[in-house]
Amino acid sequence: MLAQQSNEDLPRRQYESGLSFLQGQRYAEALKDFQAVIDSFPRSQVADNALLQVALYHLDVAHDLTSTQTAVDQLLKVYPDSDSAPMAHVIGGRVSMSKGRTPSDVDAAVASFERVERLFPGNDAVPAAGFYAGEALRLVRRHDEALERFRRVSASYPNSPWAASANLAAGYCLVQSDRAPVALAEVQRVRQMQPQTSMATDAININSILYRLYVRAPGQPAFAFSGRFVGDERANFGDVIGVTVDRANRLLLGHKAGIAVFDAKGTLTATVAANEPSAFFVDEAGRIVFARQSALHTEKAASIPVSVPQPAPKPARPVEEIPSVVALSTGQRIVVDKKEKAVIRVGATGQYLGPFVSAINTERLATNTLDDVAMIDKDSKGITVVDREGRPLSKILPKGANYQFDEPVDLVFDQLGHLYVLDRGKAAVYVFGPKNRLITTFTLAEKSPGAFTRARSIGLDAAGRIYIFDERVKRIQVYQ
Amino acid sequence: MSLRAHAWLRTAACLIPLVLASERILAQGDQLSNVKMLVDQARASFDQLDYENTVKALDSAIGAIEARPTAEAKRLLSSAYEMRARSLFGLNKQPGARADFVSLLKTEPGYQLTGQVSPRIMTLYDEVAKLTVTEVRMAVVPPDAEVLLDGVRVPASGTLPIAVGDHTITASRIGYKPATHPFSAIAGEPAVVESLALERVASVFRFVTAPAGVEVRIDGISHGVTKPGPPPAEYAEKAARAGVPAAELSSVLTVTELPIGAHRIEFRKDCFVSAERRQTVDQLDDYVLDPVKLEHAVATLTVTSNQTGTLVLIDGLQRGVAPMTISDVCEGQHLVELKSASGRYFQRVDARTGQKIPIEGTLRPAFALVSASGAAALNTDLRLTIEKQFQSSQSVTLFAPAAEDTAKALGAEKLPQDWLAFDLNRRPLGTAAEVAAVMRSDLSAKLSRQFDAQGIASVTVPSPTSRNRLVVAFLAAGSGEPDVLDVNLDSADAATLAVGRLDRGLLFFKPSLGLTVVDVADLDGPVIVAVDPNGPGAKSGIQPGDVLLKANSLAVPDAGTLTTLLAGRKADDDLTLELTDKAGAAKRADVRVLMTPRLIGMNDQSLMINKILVDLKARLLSPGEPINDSVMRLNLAVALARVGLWSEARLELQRVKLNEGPGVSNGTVQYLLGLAAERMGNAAEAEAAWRAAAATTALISEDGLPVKELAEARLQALQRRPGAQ
Repeated sequence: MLAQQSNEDLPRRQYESGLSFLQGQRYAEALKDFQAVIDSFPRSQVADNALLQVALYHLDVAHDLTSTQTAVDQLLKVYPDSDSAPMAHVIGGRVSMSKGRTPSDVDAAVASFERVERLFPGNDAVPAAGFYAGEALRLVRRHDEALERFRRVSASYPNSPWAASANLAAGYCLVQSDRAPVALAEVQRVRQMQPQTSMATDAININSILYRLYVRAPGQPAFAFSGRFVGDERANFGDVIGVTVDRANRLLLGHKAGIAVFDAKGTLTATVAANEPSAFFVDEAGRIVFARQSALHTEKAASIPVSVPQPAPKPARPVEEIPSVVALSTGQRIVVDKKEKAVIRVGATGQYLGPFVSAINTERLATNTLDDVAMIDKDSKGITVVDREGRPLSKILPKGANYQFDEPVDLVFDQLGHLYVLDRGKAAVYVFGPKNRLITTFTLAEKSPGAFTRARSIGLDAAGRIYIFDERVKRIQVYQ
Repeated sequence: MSLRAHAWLRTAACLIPLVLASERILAQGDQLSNVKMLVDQARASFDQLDYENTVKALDSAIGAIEARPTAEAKRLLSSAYEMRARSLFGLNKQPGARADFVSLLKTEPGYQLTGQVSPRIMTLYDEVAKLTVTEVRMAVVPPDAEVLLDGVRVPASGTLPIAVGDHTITASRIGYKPATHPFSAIAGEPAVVESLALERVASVFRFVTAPAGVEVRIDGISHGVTKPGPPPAEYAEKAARAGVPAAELSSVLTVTELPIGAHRIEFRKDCFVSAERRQTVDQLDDYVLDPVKLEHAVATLTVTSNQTGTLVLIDGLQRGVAPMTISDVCEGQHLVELKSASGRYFQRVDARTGQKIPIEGTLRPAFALVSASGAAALNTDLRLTIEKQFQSSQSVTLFAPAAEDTAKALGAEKLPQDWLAFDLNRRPLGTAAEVAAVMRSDLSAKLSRQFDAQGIASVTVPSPTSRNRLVVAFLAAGSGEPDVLDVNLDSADAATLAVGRLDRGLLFFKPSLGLTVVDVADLDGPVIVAVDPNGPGAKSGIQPGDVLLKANSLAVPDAGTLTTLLAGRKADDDLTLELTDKAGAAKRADVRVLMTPRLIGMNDQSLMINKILVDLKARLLSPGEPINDSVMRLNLAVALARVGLWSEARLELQRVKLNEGPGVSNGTVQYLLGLAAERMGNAAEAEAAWRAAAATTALISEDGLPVKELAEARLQALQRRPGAQ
């Protein structure tokens, strides 16, 4: 017994060391520890856990599907009955999900998730598998089926963190199924079951959006000026190229001198210097990437030129004007090639991956959690929405029931998939829901506080607060 | 023919059949009674001076005795010889008479002739005696030795008549070496046997106890158990001196061969206080202890129960019904059990003499630990380990029946120990994988009944590499789907956590205002997003979109605060709410708290459903408020459905009476009735129930999905079935 304890002691400590490095985001060190456990103590009780951590790292941090699959395969082959095996099946399903969204990809992913409950009926990974099965279906817009999966998780494992995730995702599905009011109570349950967690914060954010759009509106305006401004009037931000709120809840304002970074309270915390950038976005690692003169620039990193290959012997054509760029969850960048009236797709390292949308005069892109990309068509003044392969999904016509675009200048999705279109000409924000139905219009009288008569750009935070940069006010105004 | 000849003939006529009959009787083997009869007949003839018939009868009798000389028959022999000798003398057959006197004196040397004897016969007898009998003078040491003269017990000292010839004296006594002394007796010369002294070879202990049945252990070694008395008379005085009633005394237990030295003597008997004596053996001798009296060793149990009609058992024996006092509980360890139809309580007590032990039994639904499997860390009965770990449970009793009883019960069903082995993932292990749920269901019902429990349980060590990780599987009677709990013997908190999970209670009602509130950023309080049209909130004018700011002047910054505030309220408590409407205008509302039913989740895997089942069944055995019973019955129905007992679930649902309304209400019952009907193959009944459910605003649980939505989905599925119109 003592011998067994001492045999287990070293691998366990090394495994815990790896976890500690992982928590501190020192991934290389963490991987060294985990690999040492796997190689030196393959019979220890934590060897399977180490392999699982390696798989999770490759999937969630390195986005390396091949290495993830290798680790999962090794785990399931060597430790098929271990504590980690159920979660390995879950990761295997997630790999299938990440590979693509064809029906066969989805079926493979769902099958992998369903396998967990069949093989390990009482394991903690079962609710995780149930949640990801719902996610696989949600990502391909099978909302009713996804909703059923999410509800099954929250009904079967109400105390599990996965139930909270499922409740949040169920909220999304309900919105997409035009049952947004039902989502309120379902999302609120997360705050009851998992208070003091990040998911409780997610829940209040989602319900804040739902409240404004479905409870306060239409009887009352969905938004009101908060009286709050971000940025100093004297800063004289000129030629603003965009406003965005990243996942860390930082508010970023791109202008001719760079990117100003504000914290959640509106205090300027940093500025990324750039000479007349044309666009910017925040990448997967939270780094600010801006476009300038045919290249994507990242602070403290080499610039990535963006060009389109030409038939030989012509050299590749640099994309000279990039008025907008967004990043998809796959790591691909969707770049507007203004000169060519096209949108192209490039890799995270700048390699050209192909055309995305052609023959469109656009300067503004927005993307949502499904990697759909919405773009303002300057010629038609309408909105075109395509999927992550660039295939058309829908169009919002310049004129529809209860609205008519005059000069749409910016657009943004909230986390529930509502599309907010900023119309400078109308000094209004139009909010479109599922099937591009107009849910509400927000505008303020010209003389009233917070009016945005010369709006330039719009951003949204996680709670659905609107941030509009108005060239007359020269600051960002906050609406809630 | 002379008269004398007639008389002889008459007598002969009588005797001939008599003799023939006597032979026949003898041949039949009932020797003693026949010999007695012959001797009696001979005496009658002898008294009538009919010597010939006397001789004939005695010839047969003596012949029979000599042929089969039993002890009883031999006692008749001396008088038979005397009578025949005197008859032969009367018939003038003196040699025969002499021979019979010789035989008589050899048989019984000290024999004295009986009745009136003629001088002539007396002369002949004395003459024969002089030639046949002499005397022996005896003195054997020790005087209480057992002395046998030619195999017949005789006194150890004194003078005895003895037949002339060779004889053997043997003497023996416990603690002494036996001795044999052959000698010859010569007519006219008295024999002397005075030098026969036995050699002492061992000391002897003699014990008498009160009561009998006491085990005597000397120096730790058992030397037997005293048997019921009475002992010899000499012990009576000693017993009286020791204050021991003579009637309680045992017979004497003799122990020999104790060596020289000090000895510790223990007297033990169950339920009596053991006694001890010390005795030193200085020399080989007899040691007789005064009678040893053992006092009763009993404690008194005062047994009470939280239920009426509770049976009380001690060590498996039924002693009565609680409340009761049991004043004869023997000293030592005992298992006190209290049993009723709904539960069980047990306590292992270590009773001490004179102790008064209160047993305040709280009966709880019980799970009998019927099997243990896997490689345990220690060679112990894992069931007892688990019994101990779960002793602090406030909701159930886990008990380990005697191992031989469980072995017998499992053997009768041909079940190995791992028939109910599950891992923490609820995966069946070993043989358990071959036992279908329906079979487990039957077995759980049967074994629960057998052990007078509400359910059964098993303990498993799923992994040989983690021998201190145990998994306990629970099955309510009739359930085939187990709950499992992890118990890590290496962790001090593991048992507490496991018991905590097991003891997680259910609340069947919750206070409500009939409002659905959610938290929203940038507001001072939660927003009301739905109002039950018949609830207290609606009656007070609260509308969706109102923002709740205060309750009874206390700030309510979020929905959690409201939940906490309500949790401490009871039905009809008043609350004053301060709110703003959608437009921001302030408003007040006085609301009265309403208690609304709660229902466990049909699919909630976090629930210990088997424990809930036994708990609810137990509670419903004692009727309470109709509404309370209805809600408990509804919860019981869901628990039954969860373990696949749909038929029982349906019966319970049919007894539930809830009003229509939002939340858990009659619509919930109708929806569940639909599920039960569908499971039992009654599509028409299911459809009717679901249609009723679809017309309500009920929820499937307190914060669950609308029944309308669920019922409509079921109805659509019914329509999609092949053959549906």
